[in-house]
Amino acid sequence: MGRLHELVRPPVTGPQARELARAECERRGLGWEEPARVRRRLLVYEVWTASQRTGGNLVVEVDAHSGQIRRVRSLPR
Amino acid sequence: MSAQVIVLDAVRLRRAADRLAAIAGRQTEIGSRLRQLSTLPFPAGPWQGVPAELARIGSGLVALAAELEEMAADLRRRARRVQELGAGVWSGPAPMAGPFGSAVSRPVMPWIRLPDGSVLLGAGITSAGPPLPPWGRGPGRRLQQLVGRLGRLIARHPVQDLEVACLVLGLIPELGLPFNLAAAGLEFSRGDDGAAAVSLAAAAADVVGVAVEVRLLEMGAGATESAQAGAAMRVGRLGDWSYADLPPGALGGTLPDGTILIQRGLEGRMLLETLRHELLHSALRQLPPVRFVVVRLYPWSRLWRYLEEAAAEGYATGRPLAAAVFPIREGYVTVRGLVSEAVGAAVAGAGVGASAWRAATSGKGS
Repeated sequence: MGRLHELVRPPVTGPQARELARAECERRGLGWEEPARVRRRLLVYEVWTASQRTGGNLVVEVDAHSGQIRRVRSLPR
Repeated sequence: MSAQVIVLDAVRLRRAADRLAAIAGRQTEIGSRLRQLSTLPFPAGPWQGVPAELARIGSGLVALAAELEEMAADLRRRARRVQELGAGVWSGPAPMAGPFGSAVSRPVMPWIRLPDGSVLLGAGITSAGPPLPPWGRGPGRRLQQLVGRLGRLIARHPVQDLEVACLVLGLIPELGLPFNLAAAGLEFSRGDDGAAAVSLAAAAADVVGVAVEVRLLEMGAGATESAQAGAAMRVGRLGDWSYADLPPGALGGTLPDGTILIQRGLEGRMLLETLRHELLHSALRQLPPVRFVVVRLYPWSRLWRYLEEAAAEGYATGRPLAAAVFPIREGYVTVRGLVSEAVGAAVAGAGVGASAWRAATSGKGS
């Protein structure tokens, strides 16, 4: 029951995931561009920078349970 | 039987004929200029075949202009015939019970009155023109239908759209020549000599690039990038693009207004491919009818994102298989997300279809 609850309402919220992604980008020296879009998959938040642009975005994956950064990648074009 | 419909408006037909004749005049002029260019002394080596090629293109354009003149004359004949028919058809009572497509009754002669007062008339009016070519049945008939559809499609689009289409298609390496020539024709016809000169130069670069490529292959030098010369020339004038500082690993991006951003320092083949990729995104975001939908669909629909990215990559690289895996390989979408959305869309579509079918059949039964 507890796990189901975590799936429905994970400990990390969308705005928190956004801030975690922003801090990670700044720590790595990658440019953070607004507007950023947060989208939740089952256990992971996906944060896209410069979301109005098609291509050249940074995508940060944040664990919805622990808040850990899983992966940072950039879309080529 | 499908009715052929033409505009029953003599003034409009004459205006179209005049426009065709004007385009033909311009094309003759371009053809003559190309022929003159072909008489210039070219350096020996790989340029040797260029004058002959220029002369051939010039002759082709002049021949095409003659055909356009014929079409213009045909349109004028139709205009005269329409004028003769007009009084006979419209002085009496209405020749049909309902307008074209009406469910009230089958029209004797399908027609529709446009908001500007002109009239579209169906079967029967085709006798105004010369008899249709004897293509018979089968493939010939299908080709005729295809050409007819293409003609109607072109007629519905403004010249600017056709020009943009020609410019985009002109970027295809080794196949861009006819589109660059068509773009030049359109630009000359609207009086933009500067743009037309660029299009002609791109076409000439295409010719030279292909000629050089063929020559090098004959000499056993292997494939080079020469055939992309025309496409590379286009890069200078295509769309609104500028260098920008994008995140590391990024090559380019497109803003919602169609502006293209390219990673600073990108050059050569990678620049060309990235520009072509972004061009497709940009074109979709500048077309008024689809722009509204595309800008909203891209961030939220994984299926659409996959299709758009695959199409853009296919257009950029010319490799359909690599393009099909590009959005997944680069992380635009995941296979799971794509499949779940496709299944969802299929189920929703089937549900809507079933409801519509049920509603239609229950309506018939009652």
